[in-house]
Amino acid sequence: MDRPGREAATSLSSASESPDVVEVGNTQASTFTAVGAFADVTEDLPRWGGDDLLPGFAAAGVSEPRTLDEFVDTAVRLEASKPDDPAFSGFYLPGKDWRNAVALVWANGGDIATDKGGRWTAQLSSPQSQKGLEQARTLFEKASAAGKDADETDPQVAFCKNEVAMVSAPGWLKGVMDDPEKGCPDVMKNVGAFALPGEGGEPAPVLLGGSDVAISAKSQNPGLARSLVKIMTGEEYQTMLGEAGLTPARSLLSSLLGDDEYAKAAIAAASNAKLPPSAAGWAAVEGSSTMEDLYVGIASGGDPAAEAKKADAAIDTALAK
Amino acid sequence: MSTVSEPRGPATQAPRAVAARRPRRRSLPYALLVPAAAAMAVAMDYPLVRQLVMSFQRFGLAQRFGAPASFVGLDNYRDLVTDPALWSVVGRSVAFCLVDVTLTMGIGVGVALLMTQLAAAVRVAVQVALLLAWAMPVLAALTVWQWMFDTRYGVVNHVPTGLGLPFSGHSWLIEPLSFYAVATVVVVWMSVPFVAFTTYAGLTQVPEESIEAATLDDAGAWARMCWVVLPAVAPVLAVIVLLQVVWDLRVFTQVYVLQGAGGITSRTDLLGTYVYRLGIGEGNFGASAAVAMFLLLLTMGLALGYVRSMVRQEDG
Repeated sequence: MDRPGREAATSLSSASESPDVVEVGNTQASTFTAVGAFADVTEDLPRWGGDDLLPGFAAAGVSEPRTLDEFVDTAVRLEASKPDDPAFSGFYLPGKDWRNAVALVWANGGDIATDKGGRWTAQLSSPQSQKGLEQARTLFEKASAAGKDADETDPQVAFCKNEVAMVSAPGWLKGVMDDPEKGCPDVMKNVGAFALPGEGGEPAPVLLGGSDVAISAKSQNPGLARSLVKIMTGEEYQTMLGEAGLTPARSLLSSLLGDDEYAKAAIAAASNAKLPPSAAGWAAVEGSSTMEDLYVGIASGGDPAAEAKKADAAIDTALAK
Repeated sequence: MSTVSEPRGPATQAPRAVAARRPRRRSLPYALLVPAAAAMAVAMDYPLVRQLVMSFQRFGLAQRFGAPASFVGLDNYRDLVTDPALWSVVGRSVAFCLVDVTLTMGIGVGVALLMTQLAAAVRVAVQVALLLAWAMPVLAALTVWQWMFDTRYGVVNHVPTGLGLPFSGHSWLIEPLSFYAVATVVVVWMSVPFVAFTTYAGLTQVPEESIEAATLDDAGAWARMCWVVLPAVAPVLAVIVLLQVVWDLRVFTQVYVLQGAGGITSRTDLLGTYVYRLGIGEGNFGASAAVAMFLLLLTMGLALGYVRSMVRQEDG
């Protein structure tokens, strides 16, 4: 097995170097499928949902938000509750973390790009998307002390220093934070979870970040590769994933998550989750860091409309290919 | 061995002696060259030719997986020349290269001159420190530099904040100029040892007599350096400057890693990372090859002056 990054193209295209089975992110899968990198299978995929974690609510006198507007409001109030601590975040949102911030765009009815009759058009300048970007700007300015150009790795560092009231993360973060070496099990005693609320009280559409498992078209052991994928989607392996907090691929097994509030939040979040545009050229958008630049621009004080216009132009060019 | 067996006379006589022996065939030297030339051809010429061909094709991810590539002539080049993003990248790269080479040479030559004046034990200590900086793997060094400049927990923010200055949470990478300043610090830190060692080696070869003669002529230290020492090591300096220009023009690792740590990618790209982002990042290998050819021509243009003057010096 192998885990490709952007360099996947190099090894997948050579029969002698190609791994037999690869794991790609959801956001890369459509590009590699479109160029024929993968063998034709219709297996299912592990997925994650987005959870939010919330210690310290009682101290600030806020309760679990039920709508998206309430969520933004809660984040701002949590931040304001600790004015002396410049490192404290009501909602920890690093500037490059577009995968979490894009949920705000989707929750308002906007989108990154839509497909009209075979042609992809970027939609970040639409009024609904703009509302989501404005909410992101509010969070960046008034609720988050995370680096304006930092990325989303290692949120548990700030969390374990009690500098974070809320963070949005995939389900496995709980596993990391429960770990006595890497995380802080003591802090976790005061932590709970809820799914990001959308407009009108339903779970917001969060990014279906996750792993797709694919068999390389040039694999030299196709039979063995198929067996491996069968094991990975089988009940035993999926149970192991479920017990670690990862949402299993097969919906029948979602009960394996248990029924604590983390599980409920994950299931609720996954129920309404969305993928980025399944265009053949989407990996090029990710490769050129367009979405990261958009959100870093907004986080450092740029105008959401102007930044969205730049991002739209780049996305249109990339998806038109 | 079919070499000249007469004892070597003065240089002026050798061409005549060789001319007398010219009728004899000398195939062995060429045969000895073949393995090295073959290795170079495979390692360097083949990728270069491939890149040249690819720059005239429309070569994307689909072509990596077997779809045929179509020849589009100069389209890739035309797209690049009309793309303002490329020209701003070129401008930034040239400026970055000039600043870095100037700083590296200034500090490197200064350190080398200093080393000639130090006591042996101190000199060895300085050389060890330089060697450690140079030998440290680039990514390991960059990881440490990133931690030092980290927005929330870096020591470069921590110390001034402790002194009362407003540096808490200051991001060093988010403004492009500040980003380049950090990149310059890292690149110069990594390049100075090479310049210092090589220049010091050249300085030890400056004949004592010339310096003594200059001192007897009442030349001050500055005049001695300008008119005796530096001209004596000029060939060495020329080579080092050439290498630094080539390396700093296509710097990749430092910029790429720092971009991962922060900053706005599109405004901090230099030519090295731009080629990478077009090719492996976006899958547009044709355009990426065209930019790479452009970078090659730019480097050759900048180096041409030096190479010609070096060749002229050898003959003269």
